[in-house]
Amino acid sequence: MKEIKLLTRRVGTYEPPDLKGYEAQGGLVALKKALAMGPESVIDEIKRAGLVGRGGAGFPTGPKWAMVAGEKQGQKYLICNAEEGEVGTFKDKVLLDGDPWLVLEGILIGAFAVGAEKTYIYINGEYDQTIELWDRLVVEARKAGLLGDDILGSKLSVDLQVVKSKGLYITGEELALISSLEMRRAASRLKPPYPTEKGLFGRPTVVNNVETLANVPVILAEGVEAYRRLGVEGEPGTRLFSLSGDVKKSGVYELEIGSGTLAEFIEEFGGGTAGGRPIKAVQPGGGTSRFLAGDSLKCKLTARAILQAGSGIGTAGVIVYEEGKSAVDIVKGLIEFYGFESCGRCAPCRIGVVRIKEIIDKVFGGEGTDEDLEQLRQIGKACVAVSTCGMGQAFPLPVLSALELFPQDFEAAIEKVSA
Amino acid sequence: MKEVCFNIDGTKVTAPEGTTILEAAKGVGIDIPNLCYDSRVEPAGTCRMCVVQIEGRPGLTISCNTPVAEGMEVCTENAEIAAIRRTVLELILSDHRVACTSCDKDGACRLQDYAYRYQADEGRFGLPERRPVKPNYATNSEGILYDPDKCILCGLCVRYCEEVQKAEALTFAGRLGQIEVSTAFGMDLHESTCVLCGGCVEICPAGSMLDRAAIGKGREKDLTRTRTTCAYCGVGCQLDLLTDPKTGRIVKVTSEVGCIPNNGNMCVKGKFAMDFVGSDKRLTTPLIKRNGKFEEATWEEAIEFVAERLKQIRSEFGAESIAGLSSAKCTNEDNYVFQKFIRACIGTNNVDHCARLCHASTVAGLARAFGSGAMTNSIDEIKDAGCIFIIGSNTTEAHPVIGLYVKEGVMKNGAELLVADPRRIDLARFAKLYIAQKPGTDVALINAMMNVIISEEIYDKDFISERTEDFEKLKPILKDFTPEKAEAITTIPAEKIRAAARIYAKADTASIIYSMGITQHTTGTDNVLSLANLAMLTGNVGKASAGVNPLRGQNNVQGACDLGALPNVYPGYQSVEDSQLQTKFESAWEQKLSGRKGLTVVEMMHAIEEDKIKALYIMGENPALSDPNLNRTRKSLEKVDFLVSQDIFLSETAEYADVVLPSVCFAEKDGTFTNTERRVQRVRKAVTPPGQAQSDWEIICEVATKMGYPMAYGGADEIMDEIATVTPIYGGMSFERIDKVGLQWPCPDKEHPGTRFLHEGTFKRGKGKFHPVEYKNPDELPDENYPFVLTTGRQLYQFHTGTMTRKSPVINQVSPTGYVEIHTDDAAGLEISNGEKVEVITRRGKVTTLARVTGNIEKGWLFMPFHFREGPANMLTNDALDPTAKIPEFKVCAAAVNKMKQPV
Ligand SMILES: Cc1cc2nc3c(=O)[nH]c(=O)nc-3n(C[C@H](O)[C@H](O)[C@H](O)COP(=O)(O)O)c2cc1C
Ligand code: SF4
Ligand code: SF4
Ligand code: SF4
Ligand code: FES
Repeated sequence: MKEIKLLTRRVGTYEPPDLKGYEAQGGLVALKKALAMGPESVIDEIKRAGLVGRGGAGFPTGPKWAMVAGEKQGQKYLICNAEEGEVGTFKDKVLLDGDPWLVLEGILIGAFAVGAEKTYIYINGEYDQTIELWDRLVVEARKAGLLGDDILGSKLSVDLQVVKSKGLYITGEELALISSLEMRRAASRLKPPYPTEKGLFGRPTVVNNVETLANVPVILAEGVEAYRRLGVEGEPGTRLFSLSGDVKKSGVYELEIGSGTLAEFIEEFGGGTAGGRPIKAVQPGGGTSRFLAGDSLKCKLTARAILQAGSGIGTAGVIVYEEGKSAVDIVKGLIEFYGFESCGRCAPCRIGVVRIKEIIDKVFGGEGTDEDLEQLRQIGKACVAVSTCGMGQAFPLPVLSALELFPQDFEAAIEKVSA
Repeated sequence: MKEVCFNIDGTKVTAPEGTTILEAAKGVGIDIPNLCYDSRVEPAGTCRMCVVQIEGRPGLTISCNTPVAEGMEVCTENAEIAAIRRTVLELILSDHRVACTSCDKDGACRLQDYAYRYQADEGRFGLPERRPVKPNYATNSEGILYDPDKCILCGLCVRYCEEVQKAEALTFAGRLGQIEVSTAFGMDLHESTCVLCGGCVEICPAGSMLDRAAIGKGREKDLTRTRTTCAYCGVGCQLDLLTDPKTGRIVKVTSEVGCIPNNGNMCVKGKFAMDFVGSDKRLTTPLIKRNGKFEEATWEEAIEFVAERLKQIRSEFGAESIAGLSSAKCTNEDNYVFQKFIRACIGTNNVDHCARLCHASTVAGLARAFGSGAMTNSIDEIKDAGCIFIIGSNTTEAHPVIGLYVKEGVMKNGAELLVADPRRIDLARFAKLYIAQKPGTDVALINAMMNVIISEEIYDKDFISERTEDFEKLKPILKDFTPEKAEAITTIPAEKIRAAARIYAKADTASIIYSMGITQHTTGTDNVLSLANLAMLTGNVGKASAGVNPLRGQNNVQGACDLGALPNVYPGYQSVEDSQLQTKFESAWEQKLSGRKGLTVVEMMHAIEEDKIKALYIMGENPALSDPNLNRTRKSLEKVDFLVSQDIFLSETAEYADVVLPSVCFAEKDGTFTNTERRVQRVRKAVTPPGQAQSDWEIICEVATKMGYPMAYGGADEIMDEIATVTPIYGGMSFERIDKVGLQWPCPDKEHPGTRFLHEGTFKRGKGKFHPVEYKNPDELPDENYPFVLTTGRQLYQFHTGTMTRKSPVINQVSPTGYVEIHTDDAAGLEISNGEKVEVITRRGKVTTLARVTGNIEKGWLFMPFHFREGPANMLTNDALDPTAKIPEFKVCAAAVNKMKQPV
């Protein structure tokens, strides 16, 4: 397996917010092309490229843009989602810090394509330096005529506002993000209507992940054909994988989609497990993805293969757990985080997350019973089945999959009491 | 609308496109469990109980936010769904202090019902920890109690407040685990933007929000429910009075979603101001004044006394020396009997009531222009209008539930709202254009709007030529009534007048809503005629969601007018001066009648001064506080030889009376009220009257009989049957027909379905008639000594003279006393600060009240609500009359305001 530098090609080669360094390496070519092509052709190109969202939900980007572009009247918005709150995920930061102009170029092309004059980048509240950098970047961009009116001498007007997030996991969810931008309680909302119909201030809005938007200038600059040569059928391009957990070396690696297996990736880039023990389980798509273990680790690094193996590619945050730790421990660590992150809007998620946390604490403390495990299953299942947003639908997944894959760990925790 | 055909649990169902699965299922009797749904608010999908399985869709889908589609196959419940629902309920219960044993909501609680249905175990996931007891936003509220331990955070109350009432008082506060309903910054509810409509209490599916005064006074299953019509304003909300059968007292008031006209919505008065019914200040026995003091009397004594005195006065001074004031608070039946008593038993047409003081000019003006003096269209049509033009109506305060429809029209249906009012009323928030005319200059504004409409040729030529007459007479006077000329009179910038004219004229349907800001002027009839001109000019009469819509103030002012409590007409607006009609009533009532029209309210008072009226019989009115120029009115009440006050309280007026007769209030009698949209609705007896109080019509019948004109009815329904025989517009009314839903007149026969809007196809009078109206100044203009324009009006929390509302602790908390509104700059000039005591003086009197310094009124203008006996605005108002309608000019007079020299 080999890293491939497509999105990350300029990372470390210039000193942001220096624009010259970016332009010298082919920057802004895509934006100029886009302005010449017109919005509709841009959207067509993105559709043809088969770009899907990198924020976790995997929604195709071209069709999303087309929906917002379809509304011809009134204010529209584009929001770059740089919350990056998912456990085991830190790839957006690489782009935000290392090649912010690429992300900005993506934002501008997106805004042009959908007709949004006002754009936002909503950055994780803990990324202090990143926020500072982006504040300076905006000043530079205004100076260079890349924000404001008549961008690059065209009729395009776009403004960008840098917003420091509340630093809550849930504000990464697009509707909670929108509520938060509207200065409301950071809670999600009912869908439909989707943000593309009624988003920010009730107007059609595109919400895209940082990495998704970074793909856009690359696609236009390199051409759709070149772009589609990378990756596998149905999943073109590259992905930025975050690797963490019990590995020797964590980091962010850009890989061609499907270029190797999960196990190979962990071995080659992570240098094997931290303690040298065999891998017990892996979450391939961030902290809310189901565990994979044993043979399923041989799945290819594609969304489809990972799904078939029983999990999801999510944010491509690969978290490795080596043998030696009980699944109860692992799950406890995760739920300790998610247990405070429900927005509180829907009943099952709001209450379920707290009950699950309580029960896991109880089991971990050696006071659990079979009934408790049954309750975990029931609450988890109900939350997954009926919650409004991805939070409630996903936080129980690691718990449920741990119960399926490692029942013995839970039984051991219970037996400690009975024995 | 397109119908779609689909399948629910194997049954074929059709429903209009856009119906949600939940609603469609409800329509066929399948109750999909729901804890956060209400048809009046947008779905929020927070409880997740309503999930269903849709064939071909992965997973489960919530049914409250999913519209039905052609061919859709829905399964509303299977084992998997039931299990999930049970788990969700058990989760909710693990966070809800289950206290059914002592909860007011027991038996009427959706959470309890579903917990039972799914046999959810409240302890399965542990019992919730009780929150530390600490004050919340409602702790100090007299009206509402909020218990966060029982709150399931469904959000219905917050959404109701935001979406329906648009008060935006409620919100969620706190972090996960401690989220609760609150106000902005947790301020006390009664100090927030809350309008105390009680909608939050009503909509709560669990027992978290409750009527504070009703706590522990009975669960719904212990209480008796009586559907009746609200006794306050002319909207005529359908209320359910819940009474304790043991004590016979009203415990609380609710309303049912889906009822007409209010759809379960209420305002603070309907919801929280029924304390007067059970007040210990109620009159319980007849009183006769002897040596200046009231003494208790038996009914025989009292009736005998009244009958004798009236007979004596009649024989000495003639029937024309006696006058009666009927009541817009009483039922149609009471009013019918009262005017029949005055006309047939006493023998005069001297009968009037307080409509004179509110909408006499409406009746006069609209009758001349259209042929019928009532609201042309229906309440629920307002929300579908393209343009809503509100002029001289503070709708959200005086007719709160109609205010909801206006807001719905604007916010949900995109209606363009035009507000013209001297004060920046709350609805101005929602207006596309708000303009502030100087009080008393409405004709100038309307004329200028018509000038624009004609010069820009945006009027309805076809309508004018086919449906109207005298358009040619209108044109000349409008010719030079340019917006610039109107600007000089009204102070509204000419460009805004143009914009207003365009908004109004260009809408497909434009509905004019007005109230006393238009009518209570010496030019009241002119104002009304101008509005009629405007509507006809643009073809906005005789179709849905349009028209000229006077909002009637009192609960039954429409009915009192309809039933002939007016000096010039018999029931059904049949002229007393028409000899054929006179003959008709003479044969119906078996008595010779006078063909001379009688005196109006203010004329009666003036006639007393001239010794022309010797006896005054007042049923349920309080002129000693409600009439203009009170000093003069009170002198008359003092002077008149014989005064009868038939009332539920010893009112300011009753104190002048020789005899006081205790009557029953709306909650203690059967009958009907007619609301502002001409809808005749049932009033039902829910509690037993205090002491010996009797129905108004029964008392009148006894007096009449004693005087030698026998009157007797077996019940209110019999009176209605008699009404139907002599009143063509009520010809099809009967208690049986209006049992469930009221009927709108005209309803000439038993088959007629009632009339939603008037003048369809043809006007009542044939052709609509334009009346050229010249602008005239108000009777009294500011001068050196009285530099301010004083205008008066109503306030949400109070009603009329406050005799009913001011018995409610909830109301007294938010509206303890009167005030005068004054602009910030004027106040600064006079060194008056907010809340300070001031003196307001006019040529007629002086009143001490509190200053309310605000930016919502223009400079040079003052506003006073008229409800308060301790600062009676009507000491100040002008009793100059509109020459046609005889309505006094309550809305404009010249006044001065002074800082009090020393603290009082
Ligand atoms: C609980 C939750 C947290 C999320 N956090 C993020 C995030 O931090 N960054 C992100 O890009 N998307 C996040 N998402 C996904 C967004 O809702 C949304 O799908 C995404 O921003 C769309 O962009 P994309 O189409 O480019 O992937 C989150 C979703 C959920 C349910
Ligand atoms: S699933 Fe959880 S986080 Fe998402 S809307 Fe519901 S309560 Fe909020
Ligand atoms: S008070 Fe009642 S209506 Fe309001 S959120 Fe709580 S349970 Fe729902
Ligand atoms: S709006 Fe009028 S009728 Fe309705 S509750 Fe209030 S006072 Fe009564
Ligand atoms: S009723 Fe549909 S989610 Fe609550």
